[in-house]
Amino acid sequence: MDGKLKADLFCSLLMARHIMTGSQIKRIMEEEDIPSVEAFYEEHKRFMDEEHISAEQKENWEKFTSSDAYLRIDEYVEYVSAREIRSINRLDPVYPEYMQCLPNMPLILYYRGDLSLLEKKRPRVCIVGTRRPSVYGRRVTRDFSKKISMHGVAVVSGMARGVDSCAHEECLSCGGKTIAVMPCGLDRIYPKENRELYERIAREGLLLSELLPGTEPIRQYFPARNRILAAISDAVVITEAGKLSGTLHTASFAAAQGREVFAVPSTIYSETAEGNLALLKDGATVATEPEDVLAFLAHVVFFREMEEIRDQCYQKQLKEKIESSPETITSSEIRKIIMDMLAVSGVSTDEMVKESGLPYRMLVCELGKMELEGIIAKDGNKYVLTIRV
Amino acid sequence: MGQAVTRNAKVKTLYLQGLEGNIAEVEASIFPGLPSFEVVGLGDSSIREAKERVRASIRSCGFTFPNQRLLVNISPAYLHKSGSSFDLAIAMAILLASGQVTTQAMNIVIYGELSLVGQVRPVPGSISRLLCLETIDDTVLCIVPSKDMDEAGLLGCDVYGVDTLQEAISIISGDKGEAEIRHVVSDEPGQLLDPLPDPQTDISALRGQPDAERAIVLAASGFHNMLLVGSPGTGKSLSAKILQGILPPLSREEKIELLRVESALSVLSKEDIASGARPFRYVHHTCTPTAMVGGGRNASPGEISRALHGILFLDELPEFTPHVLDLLRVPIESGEMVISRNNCTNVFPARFMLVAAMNPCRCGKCMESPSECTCTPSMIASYQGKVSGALLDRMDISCTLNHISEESLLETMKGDFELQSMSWRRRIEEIWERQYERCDEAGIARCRNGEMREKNLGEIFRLGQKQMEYAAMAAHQLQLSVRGLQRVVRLARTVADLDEKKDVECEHIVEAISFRLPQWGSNRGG
Repeated sequence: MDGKLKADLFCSLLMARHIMTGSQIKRIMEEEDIPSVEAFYEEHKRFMDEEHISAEQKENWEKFTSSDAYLRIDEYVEYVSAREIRSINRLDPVYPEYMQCLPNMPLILYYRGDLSLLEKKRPRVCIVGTRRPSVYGRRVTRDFSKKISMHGVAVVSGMARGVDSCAHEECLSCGGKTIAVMPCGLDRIYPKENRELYERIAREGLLLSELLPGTEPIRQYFPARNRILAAISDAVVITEAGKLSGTLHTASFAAAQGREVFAVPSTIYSETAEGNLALLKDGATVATEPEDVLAFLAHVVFFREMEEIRDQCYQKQLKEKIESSPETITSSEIRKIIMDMLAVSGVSTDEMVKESGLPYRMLVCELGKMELEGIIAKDGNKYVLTIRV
Repeated sequence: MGQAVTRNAKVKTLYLQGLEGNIAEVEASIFPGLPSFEVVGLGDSSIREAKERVRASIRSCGFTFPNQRLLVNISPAYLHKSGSSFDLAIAMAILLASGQVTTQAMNIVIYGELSLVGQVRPVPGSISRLLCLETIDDTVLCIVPSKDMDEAGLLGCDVYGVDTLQEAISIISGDKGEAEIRHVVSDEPGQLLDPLPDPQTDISALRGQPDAERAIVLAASGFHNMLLVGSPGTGKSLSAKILQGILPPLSREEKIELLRVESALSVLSKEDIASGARPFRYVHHTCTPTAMVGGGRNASPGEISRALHGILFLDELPEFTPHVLDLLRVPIESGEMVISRNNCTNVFPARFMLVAAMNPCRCGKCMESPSECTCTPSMIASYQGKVSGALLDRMDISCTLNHISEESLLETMKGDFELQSMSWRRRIEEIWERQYERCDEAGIARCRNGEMREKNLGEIFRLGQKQMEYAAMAAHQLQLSVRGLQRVVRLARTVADLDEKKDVECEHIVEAISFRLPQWGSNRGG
């Protein structure tokens, strides 16, 4: 019996039955100094009083304690784990950091497949659109999904009919990785005709949902699902969206969460793409080719790497290291030093040697590699950054 | 005497054609008839004038000039010959023919210019002549102007040096008694070259410019062509001088090859012959095509040949006529310059290290402080465009020099630093030796990395599959031409040699790439 899964399922049940909200659970855990969800489950009875929950919630709790869901929870856990469904919660180290810092992110996520697709360093692009795309819309979706996935970028979508399914299918057929965020429990398949696609993504990609297994798809869950779509993506591409499409929700979530929104333009007379044009009018970025999106991602990935390096080491420690034992400096540390020096303006090799105190050879080798990767370029006698914020 | 018989005599002499020494026979014939003196055998005016010098010399030495019909033939008669070196041979042939001098020697080789009072003067081309002497199998009695004894000493030739016609006569007639005759015997090993003096400017003067320092060391280690780009006063000429300072001394073979060129142009001093210093030819930008690569009516070697095994330094590269610069392309590739004239084809050796310096623009500031640059973009483009891409393509190393900071400037003034050029010189000698060994292993002519023109560089230079792919990837990324890729590989090999690595690794390739041609903003591509 998977204790973690059980605890996670229990917390989800509390939320689904309106006994506690996610933030209440979190608050209790913080106040009572509870280290994990499992520990919370062990002691959950302690918190079901007036001090922690309202009268109404208490009533719900009492109803819940007498229900099958509570009494036969072990059977339920068996059912879920038999379907290869796993869970992560916000206390797990694998819970993505970029989601932690957003408001309204789920306490618990269920998944099937390869969770490593959610790692911070892996770029992800969400491709969404209307359920009834035109021929043009399909073609755009396929083109973007193909090019983007061929560059090792995971394609995120909602597995809905139309553009979403199209994006997943194209990505898989190119051997790419895809993530589907479902508007229902992961033991359900929606829409039904996507059974094959569903199984394939479970095997080769990642299925995600915040909903308890067993939850049927209901329209009101769709926008909530869209906020996760946007949250796990670095950029959202809207290939074709109608005027009132749910896709526009995804776009507005993305904008609110600080993700780049790309909209592909089409003819102004097209009804199926009115949403795109509206987005463009609102200031979405124009994407006329997949490279537009890829170029943006290159920046994102690069700065993410830089940030990582910055987190790892501090300049002062580095200085000491250079003086005491230059041979132990790693290439990423040298990169960091170079990036810092080039941040403001171009610098010549001679100046860099002088400023950093690094051995000439090490510096030159790293500069060469960075130049080959296109991060920096030589302009006359100076090196400059090719990527600017 | 006075009888109506013909008397003949002949001696051999050595003359210069281009850089080649050749053997000619000088025959003198005296027969009855009205007194006259003719020289035949396609000689030019300097040979025709020899008649008067010979006549005066013979008389001033107390001999009689034959008062009969006198004919001198210089064979092979179908080749054009020139120069004053035939004087001594003509005089000797006449004296032998007239019976005033007798000899036991079978083969006499003799050359030199005569003065009116019978002094023997040195002539250019001594080394080539003496080298030619070595090709004669028979034992010969060789008499040369005493000045050429230094060269003979270097080559180890068996010759007698003379200062006067009288001395030459006493050697030939076997009467060597009184005159103090200088004689070099071939069994002696060739004399050693003088050790190189310490360089005038030490490489430590480049403190604060590690990029330039490294470029110079690499250029010297692989004998790579180098381009120095920098604003006025950043030390371009200084760098070239320092580069010369860290080059190892000439080997004996190299020295002899160089002396062939130098001696063909003028008479060399003793110091010139003994010095092991590599040439440093500072060529001015008004240089004509002929002066640069050689040529002229009598096809003499140019600056590129005089820079043999040393440095050809072209300051202010864009100021040179494009035509002159483009002439350099072939000799850089082939290591020699072929010049054909109507009667012969001359091959001048031209293995040199091209070191060129240039400003980035006319005012020189566009790189260092663009805001102060007074050139328009089109001016900059046309300035840089004067150097053809084809020539730039042959520069293995390109180094941009920067103004050094105030601090470093102060440091360079102190002068309390350790001198490093000498130790580099020794180190580079070892590195060259390793490069030669690699050539031997590959079964190709010995050369340094920068001179390597073989196609299978990867194999000879020991690059693995991975390294080859890496280099190709880099070349693709940076849009380098095939020649550009070879340039990178050659330089990478030198970097690895400096690291004392047997195989070239990726990091060596990366460093080599950092010395590729400068990219001047948008003005010029890869």
